[in-house]
Amino acid sequence: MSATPFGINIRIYAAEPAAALARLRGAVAANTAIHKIMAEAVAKDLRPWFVARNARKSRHTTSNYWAKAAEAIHTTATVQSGTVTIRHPGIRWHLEGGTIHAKPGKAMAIPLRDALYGVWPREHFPSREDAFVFRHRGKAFLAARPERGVGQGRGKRQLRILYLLLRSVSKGPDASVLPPKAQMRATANNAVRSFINRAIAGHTK
Amino acid sequence: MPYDLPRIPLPTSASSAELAALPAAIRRQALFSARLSRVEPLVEIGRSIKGILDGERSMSEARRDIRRALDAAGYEPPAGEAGTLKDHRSRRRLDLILQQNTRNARGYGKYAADMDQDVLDMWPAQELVRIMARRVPRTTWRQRWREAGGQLYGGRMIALKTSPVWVNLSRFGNPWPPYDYGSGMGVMDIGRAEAERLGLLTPEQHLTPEPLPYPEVAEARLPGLEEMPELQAAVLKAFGPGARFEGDTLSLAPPVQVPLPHTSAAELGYEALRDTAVTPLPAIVPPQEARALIASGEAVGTAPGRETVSIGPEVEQHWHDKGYSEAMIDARLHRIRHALAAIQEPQEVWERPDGTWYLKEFETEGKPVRILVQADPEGKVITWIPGGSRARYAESKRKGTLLRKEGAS
Repeated sequence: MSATPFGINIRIYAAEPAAALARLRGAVAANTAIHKIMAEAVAKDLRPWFVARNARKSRHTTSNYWAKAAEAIHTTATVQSGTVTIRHPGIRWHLEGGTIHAKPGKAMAIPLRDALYGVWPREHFPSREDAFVFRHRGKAFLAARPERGVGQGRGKRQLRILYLLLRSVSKGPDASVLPPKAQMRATANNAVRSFINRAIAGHTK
Repeated sequence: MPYDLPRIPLPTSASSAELAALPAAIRRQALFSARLSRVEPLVEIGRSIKGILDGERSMSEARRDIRRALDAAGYEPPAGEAGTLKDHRSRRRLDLILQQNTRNARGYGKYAADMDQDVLDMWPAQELVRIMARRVPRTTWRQRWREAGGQLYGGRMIALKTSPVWVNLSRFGNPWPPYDYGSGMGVMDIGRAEAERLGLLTPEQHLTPEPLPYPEVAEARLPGLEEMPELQAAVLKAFGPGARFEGDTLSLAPPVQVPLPHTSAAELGYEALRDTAVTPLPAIVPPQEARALIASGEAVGTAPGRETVSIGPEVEQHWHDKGYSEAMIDARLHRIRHALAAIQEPQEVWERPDGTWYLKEFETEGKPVRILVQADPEGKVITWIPGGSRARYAESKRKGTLLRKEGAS
């Protein structure tokens, strides 16, 4: 497994099954086909994995972070290897963990409301006048300027806390982002076994 | 293998309803947004979509950059529509554009990978499932599935990847997701063993992959203006005088109002079908694959809100009754996907005393390829007639009541 600047690569190598298929198709075509089938098998295992994770973890229906990861999977195959790539912002951080620091003098804004997922404070507040930093028990929040309430609370000033402000966010590694390696290996091996069997039986073109 | 579908910016003053009349082959290539007639913001939209696809740009960054491009181009929202879905600067509109286009590009990428012969052989079917959580999910998918000709397997919406069900299901005429605006539905692969267990195909059966639409565009990787002249030419070809470009901006003439009774293509001054053909040629399939599709009950052509036309076993019986040879029947079965494409997206539909005729010609180099599909009033196909050389015969069917014309409402 390796990481790209913006995602994860799962690399797959096959020697023995490629030799079996090479007798039918020729070495170059067989190697590429085997790697393609193995990579596709892993990709097709990953998609439901992420969709199930989305159903468990997507508290914000506007986020659908893991469902988008499921759709961001693609595969490539060469004579040397097959690769499953997931290009999705932050997915490498979810897998490997680490600390993300805000730029010097700035803070990271963690949305506290469903509708604000994926919306920067600067986008939500067209003017600096619309927001202020609210501090409470050692934590800093970005809140909307109190405005006159409506309905039942009319006349009372309402405080709307929208973002939690942090200097850094730390997270430990989470192996459950991906299926266990043994499972991915078994998926790839089973797929290539079926593929070879079909080729030997004359069922592939 | 490409994993996304770069699209060519196409500024237009047309509304979304007018743009829906563009042939699917053009809609797949073009990056447009209804009533956005500036090219620079569209280029920025294309760049932002690519950034999101590559995992290098967030939605918030994309919205910021597109708003800047809109401001620089002097964009103003329609009067009284600021902040609404009709305002290209609004978050709702930008999210719609970005999410639909990124999902479409990824849907295409998966479809392109699945249309590899080996991959299709190993994972020949897919299931329509909810991928994304929605606060208020649509509850009409099962009904839409049935209307699209889909079968249920223990309540699951599963079909072969080459089934016409997928195009029938889509508001955009694409076999890949998303199938509607704001839809959270997607597809999950069904492996060979399960597909065989469900009776979708036999161990010996192969599916014929559909050729990729516009592979040369898919390889380009970056939405580029350099392809724009070709796209403009395709639009002009499909619409004839119904479309014009002022600078780079597409305007569509008011659509032809149908039905038009007691007329003919010649009287209306319509060009030959080949002169407006922009749809690439679908795959030719072995007769046994066509027969299996007919037997499955999924040989249906429709679109959301349109009539359903189905191909049943009586079509082959009709050919036998006419005394056609096995070779002639096989030659017609080879072209079942051509017939379905004509029903799904005809260039013209004519009502005549002998039935309803769906006419379509495909864009090919060299010999023209057309298909004429005859259906009865109940929406059952009687026959289809493939042909390249019998242009006069095809012209003879362009008489009667014009029910539909590509680009007409």
